[in-house]
Amino acid sequence: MRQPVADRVDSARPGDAGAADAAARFTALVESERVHVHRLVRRLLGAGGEVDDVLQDVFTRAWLNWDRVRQLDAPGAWLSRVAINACRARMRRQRLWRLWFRQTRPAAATRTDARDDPARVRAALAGLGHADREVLVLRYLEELSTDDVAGLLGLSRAAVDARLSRARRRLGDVLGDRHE
Amino acid sequence: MNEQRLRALLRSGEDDTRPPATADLLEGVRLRLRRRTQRQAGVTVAATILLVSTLVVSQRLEPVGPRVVQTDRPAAVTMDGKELPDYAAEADLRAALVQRMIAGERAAARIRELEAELARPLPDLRVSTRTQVELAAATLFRAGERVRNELRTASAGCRQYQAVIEVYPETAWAQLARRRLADCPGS
Repeated sequence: MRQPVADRVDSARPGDAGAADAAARFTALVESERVHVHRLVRRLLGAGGEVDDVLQDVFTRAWLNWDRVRQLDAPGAWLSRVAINACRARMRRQRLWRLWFRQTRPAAATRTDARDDPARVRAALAGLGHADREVLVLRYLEELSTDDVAGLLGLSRAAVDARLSRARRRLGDVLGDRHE
Repeated sequence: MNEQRLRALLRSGEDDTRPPATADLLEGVRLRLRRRTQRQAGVTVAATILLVSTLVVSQRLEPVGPRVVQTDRPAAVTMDGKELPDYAAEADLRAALVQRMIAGERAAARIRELEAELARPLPDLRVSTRTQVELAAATLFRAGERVRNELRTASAGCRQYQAVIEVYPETAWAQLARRRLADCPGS
């Protein structure tokens, strides 16, 4: 069984060229992907203190799986998938937390608010379920194609289209704008 | 709501939170890894403590010293690695064997006696009969002698002599009785 990169780095002696090279390449990956992953997590979770937590979680997993990640042609896609799964787990935990303590979801936008108010749009997005939010964020904010969204979420193209349609309708209901 | 407007709406709702610096992010990853290592070590230590505690508790639940088993039989006393019940069984077996040997010896002695008895020659019936006849004739003759000599009754004694001659004529006592009878009065 091969020793994980993190352990190799922690136990590396000074001058261990392999460990130093892995650490340098990982640092380069963090530098190049942190903005993209941070933006994706922020869009999925909404602004809050948990974004940085999830971001660290994603890169920690990348570090622990470095032997696999370093061989990928597009580690960004792998990081996106890990980030989406981490956000799902976090939102699931938040839902259980709310159920346990009988808390309410973040206040959804009301139709009396100004339609283009950024806070109202954020509230409307936060009020959606995570499945709706995922497809809207990936398709319209991350500007991914339907096929890429389907690949990231592990769904068929038809399922993505269906989810997009449903998410648009629900968001339009919340924002009071159903004119297509 | 068309896609263009939806895209614009969603973009308008975005905040401009900046991502953490690379160094901060790497430091966060390092702290997480350290916590993970500590957690794994803690789990290992906790599992070890739990295992040791379980063993200690299970040892303490066992009675100290040799286990005492409650049975109806008295506690077995050992001697040279054997228990007394073993010796008793062996003694019973040997006693039975000795008894069988003694019975066999007795039977053999009885058989020897019978064989010796069978080997002994049978007495001659004619001789024994003759002897018995002689004894009976002698007894009768002596009775005649006593009557004639002690009681001084010659006639009664002579009848006894006559009886010896008549009953045991072939005996030596009959010949002697004839001589006495010849001396009797009136013969």
